[in-house]
Amino acid sequence: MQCSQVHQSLHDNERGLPAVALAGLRFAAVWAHLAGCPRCRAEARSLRVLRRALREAGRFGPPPGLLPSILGVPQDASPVQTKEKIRMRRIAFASLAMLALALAAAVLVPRGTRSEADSILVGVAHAMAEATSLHAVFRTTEATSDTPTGLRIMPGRGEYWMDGRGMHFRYLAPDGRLRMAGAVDVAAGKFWFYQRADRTRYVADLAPVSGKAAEVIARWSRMILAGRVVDALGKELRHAQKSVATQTRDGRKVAMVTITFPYPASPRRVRARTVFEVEAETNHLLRMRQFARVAGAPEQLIATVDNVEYDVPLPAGLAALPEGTRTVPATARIARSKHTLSLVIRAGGAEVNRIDVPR
Amino acid sequence: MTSAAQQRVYEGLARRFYAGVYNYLRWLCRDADLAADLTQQAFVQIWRHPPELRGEHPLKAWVYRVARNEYLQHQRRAGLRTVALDEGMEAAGSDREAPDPQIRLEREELRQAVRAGLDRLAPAYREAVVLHHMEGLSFVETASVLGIPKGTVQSRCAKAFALLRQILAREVGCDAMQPSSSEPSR
Repeated sequence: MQCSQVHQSLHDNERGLPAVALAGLRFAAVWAHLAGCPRCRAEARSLRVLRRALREAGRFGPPPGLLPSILGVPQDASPVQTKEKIRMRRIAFASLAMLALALAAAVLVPRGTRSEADSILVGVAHAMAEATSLHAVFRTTEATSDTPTGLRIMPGRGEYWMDGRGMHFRYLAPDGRLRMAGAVDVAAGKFWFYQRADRTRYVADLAPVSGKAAEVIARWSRMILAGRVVDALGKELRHAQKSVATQTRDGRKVAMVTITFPYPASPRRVRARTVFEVEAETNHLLRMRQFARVAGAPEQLIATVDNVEYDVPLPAGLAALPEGTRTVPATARIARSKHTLSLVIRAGGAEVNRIDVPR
Repeated sequence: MTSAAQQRVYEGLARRFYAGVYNYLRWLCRDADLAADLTQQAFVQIWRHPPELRGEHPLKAWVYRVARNEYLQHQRRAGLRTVALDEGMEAAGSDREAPDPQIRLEREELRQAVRAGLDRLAPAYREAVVLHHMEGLSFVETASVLGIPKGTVQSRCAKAFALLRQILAREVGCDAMQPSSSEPSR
């Protein structure tokens, strides 16, 4: 056997291990050649070293949050959704926290006799309405679409800040990487958002869209601060069960208001439970936890809003973006479907993102 | 297949292949964040269109082909944008196994050299090397993923190896990497 043939055998060898991969007579011939040829032995050793170096030194390890996200795909990806829709709905993460807080406001419109729970939450809404700004940190703990709002969420954390004119938000993956950020300036009629996949900041002018987009954004902002979201969630909340417990924490009296309600329209008939922790003296919301339970399964915590601060300036860094982010002009318009109201963002002739809220 | 069975199959596939798919996509797109997103999107496709286990479609090759399609679709949408390799390089062989600073230093040098060497290869060569040598796909499987003949994969791997050996021998000074072409042929 010639050196060239042996080299060919070594290179074509699937696993780089002659004893395993080279079978029968061919193995014997190669082996015999290697035994008497230092050049080919060196070649075999060199290949072995290089193969090992590639296997051991060349690999990129996956980020820690990737496997949980991938394992959560069956819960998140319904067969009718397209990949693009899933990607686009990621921006709804930020809305989740906003809508979660909106739940507090949703129970404010009294229907019949006002319960103690209603009274407490009315106080929360008044405190929000009187505040000049609100800053909150939220965490999402499960990858699921079994949320009361039907929004798809992923594990992560984020924060948002809002005043009567608009809001800022940022959302980070479990490993701390920025997934998404954005801001709405209702007064200026501007909206921008950043998404990691594109490393791009899209800037949309809301004003030319017949005022509808700005109107929707303004409504979201107002409904948090002024407490008017019954149109979105009022039907379900009519059937809500409410209870109140009090406890003393660090010398402060804290009211714990629990609201439990079914969501017939949710993808898997979710029963949701939201617990508001309210400081009795100031009516400030301290923390909110949202749980969901699918029929036949144990209840799971899906989101927490905590570190709620009132009357604070826009935190430094909330609007910061990674170096190298490019800015691209975009347009925004409102799209309506039977169950969803969407803010659709387009740039370069393509839809780049969409914020969906249930109607 | 029932929903529960499908979920079990999916979970098995995810646990078995997610790290390899991420590594492959990381080398393809050269961006850690994008690779993570594309990996997840690939598994969304795998969940929606479960594999049909037939002999002519080896499972491993199919998974990597799905991942590659996700990458190609992204490229078409976003245009050809790449960024420098700058983060996230991790060795499968952890430094925890090498408390000796000298050994750790050598491994780090090797790691950097392998990274630099692969980075200098033409994309087609790099992709073949990553699939075959890092991810352990056979030549036939690699050919199936790339949609090219087996002989072309072998040729690309051999050429890539020759280049890598030159780079590593020069940069790491590893004698074992030296090609043996100076010696006479028998």
